[in-house]
Amino acid sequence: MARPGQQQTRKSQTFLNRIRGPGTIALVSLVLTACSGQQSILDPAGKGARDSASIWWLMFWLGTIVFLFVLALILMAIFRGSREREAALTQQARQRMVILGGVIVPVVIIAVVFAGSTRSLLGMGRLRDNSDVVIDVVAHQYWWEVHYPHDEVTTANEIHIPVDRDVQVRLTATDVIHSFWVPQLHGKIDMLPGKSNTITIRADEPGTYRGQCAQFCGVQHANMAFLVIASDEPDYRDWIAHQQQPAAEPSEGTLVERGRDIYMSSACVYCHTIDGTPSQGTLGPDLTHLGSRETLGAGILPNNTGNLAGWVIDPQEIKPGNAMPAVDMTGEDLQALLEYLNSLD
Amino acid sequence: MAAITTRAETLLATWEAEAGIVGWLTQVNHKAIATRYFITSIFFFFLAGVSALIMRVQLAQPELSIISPEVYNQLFSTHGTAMMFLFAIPMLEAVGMYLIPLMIGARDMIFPRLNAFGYWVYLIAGLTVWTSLFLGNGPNAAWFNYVPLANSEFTPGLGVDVWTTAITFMEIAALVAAVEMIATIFKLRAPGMSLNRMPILVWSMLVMSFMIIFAMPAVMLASVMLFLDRSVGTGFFDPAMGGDPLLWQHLFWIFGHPEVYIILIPGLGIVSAIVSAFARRGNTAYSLLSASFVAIGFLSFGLWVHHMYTAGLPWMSLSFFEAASMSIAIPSGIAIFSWIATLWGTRPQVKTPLLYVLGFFFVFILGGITGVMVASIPFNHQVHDTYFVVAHFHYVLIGSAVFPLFAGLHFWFPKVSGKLLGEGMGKVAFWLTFIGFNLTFFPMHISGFLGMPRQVYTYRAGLGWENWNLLSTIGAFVMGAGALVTLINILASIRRGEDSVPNPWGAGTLEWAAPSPPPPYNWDELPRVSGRYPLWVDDEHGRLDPDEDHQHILEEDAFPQHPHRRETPGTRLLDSRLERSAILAGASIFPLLAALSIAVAAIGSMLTLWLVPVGVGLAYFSIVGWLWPREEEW
Amino acid sequence: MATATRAGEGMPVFVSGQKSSMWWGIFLLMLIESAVFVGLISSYFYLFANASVWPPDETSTPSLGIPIIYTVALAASGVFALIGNRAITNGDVATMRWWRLAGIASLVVFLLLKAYEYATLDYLWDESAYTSILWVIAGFHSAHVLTVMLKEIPIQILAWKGFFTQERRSAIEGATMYWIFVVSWWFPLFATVYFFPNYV
Repeated sequence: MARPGQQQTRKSQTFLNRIRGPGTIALVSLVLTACSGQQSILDPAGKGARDSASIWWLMFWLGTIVFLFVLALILMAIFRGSREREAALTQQARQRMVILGGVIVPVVIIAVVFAGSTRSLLGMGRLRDNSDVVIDVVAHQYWWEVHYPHDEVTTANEIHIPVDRDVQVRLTATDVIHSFWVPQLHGKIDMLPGKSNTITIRADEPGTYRGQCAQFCGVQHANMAFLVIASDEPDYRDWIAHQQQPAAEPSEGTLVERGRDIYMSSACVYCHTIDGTPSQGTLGPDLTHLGSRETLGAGILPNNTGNLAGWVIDPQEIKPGNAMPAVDMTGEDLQALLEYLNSLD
Repeated sequence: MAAITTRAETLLATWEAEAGIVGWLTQVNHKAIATRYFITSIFFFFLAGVSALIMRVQLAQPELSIISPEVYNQLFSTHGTAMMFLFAIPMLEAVGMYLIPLMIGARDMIFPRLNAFGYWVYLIAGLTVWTSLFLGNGPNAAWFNYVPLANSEFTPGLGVDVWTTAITFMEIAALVAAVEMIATIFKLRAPGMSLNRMPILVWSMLVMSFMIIFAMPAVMLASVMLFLDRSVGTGFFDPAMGGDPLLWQHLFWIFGHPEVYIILIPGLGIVSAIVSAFARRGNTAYSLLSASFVAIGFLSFGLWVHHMYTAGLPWMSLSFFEAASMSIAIPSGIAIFSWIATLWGTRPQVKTPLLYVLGFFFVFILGGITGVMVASIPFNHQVHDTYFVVAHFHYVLIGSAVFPLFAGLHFWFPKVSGKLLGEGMGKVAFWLTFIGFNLTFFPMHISGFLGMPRQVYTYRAGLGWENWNLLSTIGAFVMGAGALVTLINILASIRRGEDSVPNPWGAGTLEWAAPSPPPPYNWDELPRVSGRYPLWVDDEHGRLDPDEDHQHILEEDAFPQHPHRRETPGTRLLDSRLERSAILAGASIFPLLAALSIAVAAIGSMLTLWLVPVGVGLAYFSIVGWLWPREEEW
Repeated sequence: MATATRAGEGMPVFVSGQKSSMWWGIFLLMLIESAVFVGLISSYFYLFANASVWPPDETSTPSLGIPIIYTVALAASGVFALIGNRAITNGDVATMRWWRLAGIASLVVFLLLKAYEYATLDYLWDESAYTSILWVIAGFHSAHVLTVMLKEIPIQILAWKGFFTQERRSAIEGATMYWIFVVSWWFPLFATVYFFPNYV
């Protein structure tokens, strides 16, 4: 019987041999480029993230080996040998191949992976030391309310933590399910209305780590981010002390004072709190130290004058569907208002 | 000679549908209904695919505003819902619906009108979903509609109600098809085809059907509860009323996880059939292989919490689900090695069906491996709800359903149409699809690692996600081109394709003994079998019986005993001994009327609840009319 | 293989029990609906485990008086249905009809008492998760009883017209199976919804 596939075999084999080398290099470099980034899982800066990353690498190498091996077997099954030669491979031998490859080897590999995974899980769970740094985070559509109950600090969309300390974060939501995720520090935990979930995070090095809501929560889910800023203990305490201060009183007769008066007589007061003033709304982020934050709009815009202006004038342009209405104000009034907001650092 | 002609003529007169619109509306033949399912689900597949292309354009670069967030959210919700409910399950069921009677030697399925009913319900569901999307009211709270977001307070409007309505329809259609398949497989197999002689594809359809029966009720219950919460103020999922959003997640995923294996297992059945035919050898370790399907079926019901690892449940109780989720790789491994062993040393010709099977191996195994990875709790906490998971499930779903479906299309097209699909075009389409698929979804593993969550309509620049997203977008269009080439191949081959012999692949199972295409009654003379591969003389080497008339399996039988009645042999469950003459229903308008009545109730419920009792009342009368005995039955 | 007759010669058309298609259709339907009932009961206990007080304050526990009465009526209807089924198995159509009518009457008693219970219940489904699950479980089951009753009507008509015989009885069998199914499931649901909150 003619063997029409014979030529094909030699061509495919050569082809495979040629791509095997560069293919592996490509694969590995592909993966390594995925490592770094401000929101990257594989660039861990905290214990929880390191535990996840370590099990990943174990699974990656095992998975790659298994995948390439099985692929090679399949190609060999199709392109190599001949029916006559393989007649020696009896039906029983083939059935044993099924048991070995389909049962025994997978059981072993899965047992190894499961053991490694449980080890990482226990590591994550061990982060439950008594921590005196407690932060309550309450998720809203589409921003993050942040409280430090022991220090009586309230802020929004930005969390500061001391390095090398276990920080307990208590999570809940007011409306729908959100998820608190800062990849470089820890895996995500959902925030459910009516329930409280707690994780303990710990940063090993100072830095700014970006987080993002990781549970579809509505039309602006994509634009609900936050920052976790880990700093040395003294810097952290400075920040706390600063945040504990009420808003600075504007000097008399300044544009800033005028801006404050405009603020207090506009709709802003219904939603926002500025500590030390009559503005005590709780539907939107606390603005007392707005100027000290790095971003606006829940982590999506750098905090500068231009962006603040754009945000205040028409938040719907930037984040359509979020709860903040546009402000109906022009020219000098707007200037003054922005001066006031800029003064809140 | 004259006697045989009369016999065929008698059969045709009994089984052929009326001409014209009446015949079309009352059609109950399994092949006609299956063909409708194919065409309709291909249509929905393309619509869902185009939705994905639009999304990929929006995501190709950061902060684009090609479409608004509202439209994007409707697109991704509808894409997922449509692919899962309006394409994958119906298309795979259609494969079973078409092939099962032919593979088991029966003339039709056991409840032909129920088949037709299932199709009408499915058609109405699909039209409802896509029409609402075009009207701007598509489902918009993701395909899994987590509460409280999906409650009326946070997602007012019709979108989620369209979803709950469509789900109800889809469940009915799927459950009906499952009942159909189980009863047909159990009771209408050819004499001699005991359970351990059934083709592996039939085993896979049997397991799938039982899984549907036990999984679908969970989502039906959940969607009814959601509908009630939204419309009449019940509080199942509202914490303020003592309800729990996690109840939704549990109920949904108790369905949702088996659902993906419901999609996988018939795909594995298709692969088994093609592997066996191309290797010209019976499936190695047949019993282990069919047992592995059963094992996957059972195990899949114990995994659902792995979708909820981040919800705040006690961590150590999650470990049970981690162990179970990883263990399900073992029966899958058995199946894979069974196919490798079957193919070993056989030097098959690599034609398009086998190419797609190879594509399946590559894609599904990679997806299965990332599946074991996401089963790990600490790892899952990082990649849950990111593009890594999107990559994983597209690898396993497209691997387990789309590649086998393309393979099956090329494999059985000659049987269904009497023509061969173009081989050159088939190969071009394969490579476009395979390369396009990997280019689309492999980079998503990486953007997931870089922190990109899923279900986002845009993303900020500077996080390193841009290039991977651009690659995915390009890949998506390549993949779309591949699908388009396949479509063109189908349309061209129907008209001008090469004629095919009844058994172009030299396969061994019964369907290849029927004419191409089979007449409405499938078999002139009914088969009797004594082995797993009736058309092969030797299971190990796939030598075809040289007798093209298949005299050793087809014999003139006493059916029809009652001329002008649609008869097929009824056999015993385990050993398939003849025990009765099963009379099957003929053409009827009542399946359509019943489907329309349910539509009045379900779609009407979105307008006013009073239409529900109206629809139910109409359904009652339709069902009475359906079951009312006809003249010839008295 | 030589066979004296052609395959299938003389095979019966009218069969009963597991030979009949109807039996399998009803059996599989029973599996599906059992899954739904299991889901409902599980949801009940899930919500219970989630609650601190069950039933919540201001909600009374279900009274048992009328429910016990209509439970008896329901059980009786099942017995009547079975007797009627036995009759047709022996070919006695007339006896079957009378017992089935008695069964229908019992079901009507059940439904009327149920309607009274629903009308006089001092809470609707929209007060709490507790009232929601209670109404849905009870209502879902009552809908099934109504269905059983309604489907007996065409069966009665056909029986009166002489359609059913000892041979041709698989539809009666199927209807009886489903009837007993709906009656049987009432007991776990009753225990869950009526008994449990009174004794937990």
